[in-house]
Order: sequence, then C-alpha cells, then structure tokens
Amino acid sequence: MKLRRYLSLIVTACLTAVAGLAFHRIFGFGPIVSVVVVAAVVPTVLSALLAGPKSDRPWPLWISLVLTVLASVGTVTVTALRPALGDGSLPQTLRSGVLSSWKSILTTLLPAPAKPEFLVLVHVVVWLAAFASAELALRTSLRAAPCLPAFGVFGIALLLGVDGPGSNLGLVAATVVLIAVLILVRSGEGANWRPILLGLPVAGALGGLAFLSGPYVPVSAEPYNPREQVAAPPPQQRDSVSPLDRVGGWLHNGNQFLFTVRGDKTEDLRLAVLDRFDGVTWSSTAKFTPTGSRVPSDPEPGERRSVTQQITIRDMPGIWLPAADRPRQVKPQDGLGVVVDPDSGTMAAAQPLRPGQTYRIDARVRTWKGADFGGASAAQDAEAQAARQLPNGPGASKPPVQIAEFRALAQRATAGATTSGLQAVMLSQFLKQYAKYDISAPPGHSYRQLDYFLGEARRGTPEHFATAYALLGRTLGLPTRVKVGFRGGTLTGDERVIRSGDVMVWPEVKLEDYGWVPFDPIPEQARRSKGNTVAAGETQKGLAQAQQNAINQNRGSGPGKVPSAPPVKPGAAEDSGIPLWTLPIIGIALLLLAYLLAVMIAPALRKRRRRSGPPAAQIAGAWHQALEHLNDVGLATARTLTAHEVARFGAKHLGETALAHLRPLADLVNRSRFSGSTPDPRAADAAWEHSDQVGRLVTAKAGRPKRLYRRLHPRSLKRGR
Amino acid sequence: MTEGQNGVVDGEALAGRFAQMFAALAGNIERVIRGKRDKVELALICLLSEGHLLLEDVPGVGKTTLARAISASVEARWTRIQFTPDLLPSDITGVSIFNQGKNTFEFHPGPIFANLVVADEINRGSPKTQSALLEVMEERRVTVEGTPHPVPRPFMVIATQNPVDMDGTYPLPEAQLDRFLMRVTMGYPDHQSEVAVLAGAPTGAMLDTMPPIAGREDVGRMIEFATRLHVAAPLYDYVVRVVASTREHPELRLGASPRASLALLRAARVRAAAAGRSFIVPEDVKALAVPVIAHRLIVTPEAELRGRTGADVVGEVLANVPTPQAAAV
Repeated sequence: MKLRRYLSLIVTACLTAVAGLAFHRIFGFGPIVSVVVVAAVVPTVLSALLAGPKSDRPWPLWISLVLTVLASVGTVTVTALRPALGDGSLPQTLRSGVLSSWKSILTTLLPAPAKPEFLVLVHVVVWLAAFASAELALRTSLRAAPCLPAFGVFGIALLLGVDGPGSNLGLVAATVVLIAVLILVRSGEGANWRPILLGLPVAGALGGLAFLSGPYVPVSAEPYNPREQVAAPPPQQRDSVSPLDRVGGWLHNGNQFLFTVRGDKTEDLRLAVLDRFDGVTWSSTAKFTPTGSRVPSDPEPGERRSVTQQITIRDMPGIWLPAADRPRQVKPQDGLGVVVDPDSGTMAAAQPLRPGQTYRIDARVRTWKGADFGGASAAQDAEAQAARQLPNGPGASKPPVQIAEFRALAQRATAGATTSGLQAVMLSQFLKQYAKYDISAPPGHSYRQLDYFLGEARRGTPEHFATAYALLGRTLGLPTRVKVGFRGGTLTGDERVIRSGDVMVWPEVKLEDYGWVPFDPIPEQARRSKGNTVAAGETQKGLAQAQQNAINQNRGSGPGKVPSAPPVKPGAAEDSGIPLWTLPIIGIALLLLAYLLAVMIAPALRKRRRRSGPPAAQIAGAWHQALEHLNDVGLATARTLTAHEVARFGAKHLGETALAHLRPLADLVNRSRFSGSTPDPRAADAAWEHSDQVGRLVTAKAGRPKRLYRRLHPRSLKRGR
Repeated sequence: MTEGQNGVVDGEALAGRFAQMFAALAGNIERVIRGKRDKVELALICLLSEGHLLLEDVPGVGKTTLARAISASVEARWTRIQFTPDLLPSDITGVSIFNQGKNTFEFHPGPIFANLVVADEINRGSPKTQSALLEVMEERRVTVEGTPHPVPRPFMVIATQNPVDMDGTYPLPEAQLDRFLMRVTMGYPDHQSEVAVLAGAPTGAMLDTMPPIAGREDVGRMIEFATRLHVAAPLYDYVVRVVASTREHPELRLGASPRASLALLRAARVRAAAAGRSFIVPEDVKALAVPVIAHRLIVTPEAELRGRTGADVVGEVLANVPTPQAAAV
C-alpha cells in the first residue's frame, strides 16, 4: 500500500512536470526545464517526508502548507531568482513575479524573454500543483483526483502561451499516459502489479491516440486568445525626435558612423514606419510590445527570400532599430531590450541605443517577382482607410488651400491612369523627373513646406520626395505611408558600413493583393551623388521591374502616358535663369549692402535729428554729437560726468585746442539746461560749430580708418539720442 | 532773481560783480596764504554761505593765519579762543556782572561776539564747552539768564583741530560736526610756495597792513545775492541723490543728513556766483560734495581698517550717481 502510495507520488510529480513543460511555448524548453523539474519534485518529496514512512496518518495539512510555502520561497530564491539575490531586488522581483508577471507575459510577443520574474510564475504554479497533487494522492482515495492540479497547470500554460511557437501535442500525449498510469497505480491493492503491467500498453496507446487526434480537435483551429482581452500598455513617446526630422541633418553631416551590417549586404534597411500625418509632421502609430525574439510575420502574400543580418550599433541616436523588412526573429545581445510593433514589424529598443549593442535579424524580404501593379486597386481595409486621411492641420478648422493644388498636380501627373496601381507608379515616375535632388534644401514636410517644394523650389531631399509622394497619393485616394531607413552604404571587408549620408526615405502604397508596396520617387541623381559601393538589392530590382512592367502595359493600352512636368509658378529660380546657388550669395550681398547703408545713413539721420527743433534741443543735440565724437577717442560713458569733466577728458585726449571748443560748448549746454532761460538760435549755432570742430579734431587724432571702422561697427547703429 | 531773459541778464551782471569781489577777496588772502587758492576759496564760500569751517591739519600750516586774513579782508572783527580743558562756556559766551553803580546786572559779551571767531584746537575743550558753541553756531545768538544776545553778521566760526596729537582731546561729537558747513584740510604748501613764504615779509606784519577789500555790508549783500540764485529742478534731484546714496552705502555706519543736502546746495550757490554765473551747474555740486559731506559720515570699522575714509566714499558716490546733463532736454 505504502509502495503504491509512493509510486503514485512519482507519477503525480511527473504529471505536474509534464504539465509545467507546456510553458515551453512561452519561453522555449531551455529556460524552464530545470525550473519545472525542481518545482515538481521538491514539494512532492517534502509531502512524502511529512507523511512519514510508517504512519498511515500524515501531518496536519496546515503544517505541510506552511512548510511548502517556506520551501518554495527558499528554492525559487536560489534557483530562478538567484540573479535578483545579488542586486537586492529579490522582494520586488518575487512580488511582481507572483502578482503581475502574467500580465507582462500576455503583453509580450512570444517567445518571451526568460526573465526571473517570469520564471517565478512557472515555479509557483508548478510547485503548488505538485504539492496539491501529492497531498491529494496522500490524503484521498480518489483515483484521478491527483491529476486535477496538473490540468490547472496545463490550462494556465496553454492560455498564456496560446500565441507562442511550438506544439503541445507531445506533452498532451504524455499527460494522457501518465493519467492512465496514475489511475492504474491507485486502482490496485497490495503487491498485485499485474494489472499495472497490462495497463501500461493501453496507456501508451491512449497517448498515441491523443497525439494523433490533437490537430483535429476543433478548438485548436481558432484557440481562445486571452491576449485579445488584455489591454496593451499605453503607447509611449519613445523618441522625442522623429527619424524623419533627422534626415536633413544626417544628409548634411553624412559621415556619422551609425552602424554596421554583417550578412546580407544589399537590402534596404528599414528604420521606422510613419503612417500618421497631422498636417505638419509624420509620426508612427506603432504600439510596441516587448519581445523575446519573435516578430509576427507579415500577413500579406507574396514570394519572399530569407535574409540574415547581424547589426552592431555605433553612433546611432534614438531608439529605432534598423533591420531588413520584414524581420521574423530578432536575437538581441548585451541586454538589449527590444520592443516590436506587431502590425508593421518595426523594432525599437526599450532604452536609447548605446554604441556596441548588437542584434541578429532573421528576415523575410519580398522579392516582388512577377508582380504587376498595373491592374492593382487600392486596399480598402481599415488600415488603408486611415492611410488616406488628409487632416486640416493643428488648430485648423478648414482644409488647407494647398490640398486642392496638390490634388490638381497629382491628377495631372497621373492623367490616363486607369488603376490605383498605375497611379502610384506614374506618380513615382513623375516626381523623379519633376524635381531635383538637393541635400541643401531646407528640411520640413508640412503642407506649406511641401507647397514650396512642389511649387517653387523643386529641389529636395528624400524627405521631401517621399512625403510629397505620400501627400499627393492621398489626394488621389491612395493609402500611403512613409518609411525612413537606409540604402546602400560602404563595404569594408565583410561588413557593410552605414553612415548618416545613407539615410533614405521612401513612400509606400497599400494595394489590394500586394499589401504595402514601396515606391521610389527620388531621382537617380540621389544614388549617384552618394557614391555608394553597395549595389542595388534583389528586392529593389524586382520592384523596379514590376513598376516598369506597369508603365509598359499602360503605354501599350493607349491613353496612359507619363506626363511631362506641368508648368511651375512664375518667378521660380529655375526659370529665371539664375542658378540656385547664387541666391544665398545674392542674399548675403543684399544684407551687407543694407547694413552698409544703415551704418552710413544712420549717423547722418541722427545728426539731422539732433540739429532740428528749438535751440535748447539743438544745443543738447550738439552735445550728444560731441559725445559721439569723443567715443572715438575712448570716452566710454558720460553718464556720471559733468559737462566740464567731459571737456577735460577731451582736452586730455585731443589737446588744449579741443578744450577751446569743449569748454564753451559745456558752458552753452549748462546754461541751456540749468539757467532757466531760453537760449537763442545763435547759441545753438555756436554749439554746433564747437561740436563740429570737436569732430574734426577727433578725426585728425584717431585717423579716418579708425573712425571708419567705428562707423561700420554695429554699435554705431545703437548710439543714442 | 527774476526769471526770463531780462532777469537773467540782470542776474548775470550781479553775478559778475559777485565774482569780481570774490576773486579780489581770494587774491588778497592769497597774499599771506600762498599756494592754497582752492582752500581760500572754500573758506570764502563757507563765509558767504553763512556756514562754519572746520580746519583740520597739523600745526603751522596756516589755519589761524587764514582766519585772520579773512577777517582783515572783509573788515570784520575777529577773535580767537584757545580751547583748553579748563576753558568754561562762560569764557566763550560772556557773563552777567552786577553793576553796583547802576544796581543792575550787565552782560559782558565773550569772545564769541565777533564776525570771525577762531576756535583754536577746539577738540582740546571739554564737551561742555564745545556744546556752548552749538547754540550760537546754529541759532547765531547767545542766551544768558534767559536773555538772547545775537551775534553780529556776518558770523563764522573757524575751528581748527590737530588730527595727529589726540592725547587729552575730546573728539567732536557727530552733532557738532554736522554744524560745520565744511571740513577742509590745509595741507603743506608746495615747494615754490614755501620758498615764497620764506622770502616774503613776515606774515604778522602783512596781516596788520592788509587792506580790507569789502565791508561787512558788502559781505551781507553777497550772501543775500547767493541765496537767490536759480537752481534747476534736476539739480535738486541730483543733490538729494548724492546725499541719499551715502545713507545706503555699505561702508558707512552713518550717512549724511538732510542738513548736508541744504548745506551742499547753499555752498553750491556761492560757488556758482563766484564763477560769475546766476545759476548752479552740476560741477558746483560735485566740486563741493567732498568738503561738505565727508566729515558728516561715519565709516564702518571694517572699512576703516581697509583705510577707507568718508572722502573716498563720497568720491565713489559721485562716480556712480548720474549727473543731470543736457540729455534731459
């Protein structure tokens, strides 16, 4: 009897362990095997010991409960929570592991990282189940009752890992076998082992049956997914600077060493997907979810090829992680926390990037072989509807006037196009010819700035081309978005070095049956000017071919034709025959001329003003004029000096001759100001005569070059009354 | 003085005569006080402002001679009181003595009843005796047994004190210092002036033969004229700013009182008239600020340890307070 009891404990431990291994869909087998085995065996052994080797009456349940809780805490502390033991975060990790780790798992893309707080949940669930199973086996005679806790573990693992990789069929089969064995063990009495031996093949057969029939169970086709019921964490502002806003700066400072790529050396590297336009800026609506390694796959059909990359960050700002589109799996190193937007596959780091961080990417890249966009229509799903919106802009109640101009331009550019796919292709071709690539163009992509780009400047960076394309496309009803990434680079040994000058922006249009299709409205000049050593990738070639096919097909059918550039607004620099590069020089020259005029005219105007008005004002003006002259020989301020002190200063620096003019001028000023009488015009004339004489003396003393320098100094514009 | 074009012309003419007289007085005094024109002018400004002068310097630099020369030049009666610790107030003010013949008390005026009173080594007198000067310096009268006895006009006390030999002296209290319009330091004469002193006639003989330049009435008219000089409104503001700045100065334990503002303006008027002007200019205020204000200030012990004096502080104040200039026109 006792032997059967102990045997049943072995079976319950195995049963609980097998059930616990169902967590492999969350973490993979590697991290959890040891945790599950320990959590299944230790409480079972503890219960067996407490039951006593001889007594038929085990200890009271509460004693076992207390002891198993203590043992559980101790065990998890030295196993799963050992890393937290060192840094003092043990209580917090234990608490969050028991209470809230399930929420984190449900909001993490599977497989989840084997964090200690996550493994605590596995430990606790399996430990409690093993303890309950053992106690049921020891304290009850119900044959199948000890199986129930294992079912609970299985249920929890299934719910938390329903979206995870791998299958539980083998574990289900093992569970069925162990349940059968448990029932066999607990059914017989004494030393009669024959029924057990006979029943073992039956149990195996049941397990095999479960393994084979599992895929056909109806519930497995569309399993209940608790993740859909869990509110995702609110989206965070992860980077204060949009990658699109960095493009201008990166292009200007093109040598910033951003990262290196090992492995595939041709594909474009996507950084961010920007799908929302508010009239001023493009931003991302991505809802990032932590991931262990998996990135949900692209639901769109189409031929793909596998790409493997190892990316090492050097001087990359922000949090966005570059990768070939679209990643399937990411393997971060050095504690790099990765979050993923399940919809777009965009990846970001949980913390700002640091030099030296490395991650490996397994991606599936569309090849676009055989694609033909000529007959494609625009997608109509909810995402596409959102990607057609043209907001009025911040604070505006009416649509901006530019939208009508954009629409007219887009309609002219796509005249003759019969499908949305053709419109998208023609729009791309149109922009390639319509504007020129110029990294000196001022950054910005608001309505007003794009109006300037399309209507006046017709020179821009990829930022302008891509955002203009997206905006023009939306005016035609095409669902568009913008991607920021990198193209080309420099091959150095087995590495592809990506610098800031390799940044690229391109638009995408969502077409029915094709999904998001990238377009390249940027002139070929852009690629040539960068001097990339990396050839265009297979994907780019396939895409270009598909778009060319669409154009050829359209030409063949008759009416459609890529239109020539429409006339631009009069006054544009391009038409006036003035090279664009001369404009800044002309502007600077004009500013310089205006400044020279100001510094030359301002003193004359000031003197004219000082010499006008009643005699008292004229005398005061003469005094100020004299003070201005004396500034040129070092008079910093006359604020606390009396008129005669100023005169003495002038005599000291200009000689006694100056005193002969400054002293009477000081007397005139004093009399005018303090005598209470009204000076006559002759006094004013005399004051100006003295002041002019002082000016001549200063010129003779300081020299004309020095006076001219002082005249040209900006301070001369500020000289007072 | 009347305002307006004509008034100014009249004022200018009077100011011109004032300046001539002032220059003649200064020139006369300078015959015996050589090389000290500025001190002489300050002393005359003090006289014509009806103020009192405190001469502070070592013995033998001409303090008493200056007082005698002024009195000789203005044909005024002068007396000299040598202050000693046993000097009694009645020795200064005078006493009432019973006249048996007339069977009444008769007041016998003391040496204070003179136009120019030289209080020599005033800090050697007892505080009680020093305070006897207070009433007469401010009120210009002496009250004995309830009867006021006015002093003659012009009336000016020229007190001297030796700042070096301080043993057995009673430093003048702030209240009494405040009653002096100016404090002037004579200083040693320069080499050339001292040679001229040696080569010239004895000072005593010269003083005895010095011709009077102006009578007491002339001096009275000059005083009257100076009080009527025009002062532009910004100058009142300037005077107050200068004086008030001393009250906020961190290196001063005691700033100047409104009496200092009044004194400064009064002296500035005389200086303006002496320059032949019928109006005051900022130069007048600035030139007189140190002799008029400095002795009324008490410097903090810390500043004193650094060697700072009241004159330094006034100079700093003048360098920081903006002057009213033609800019305001």
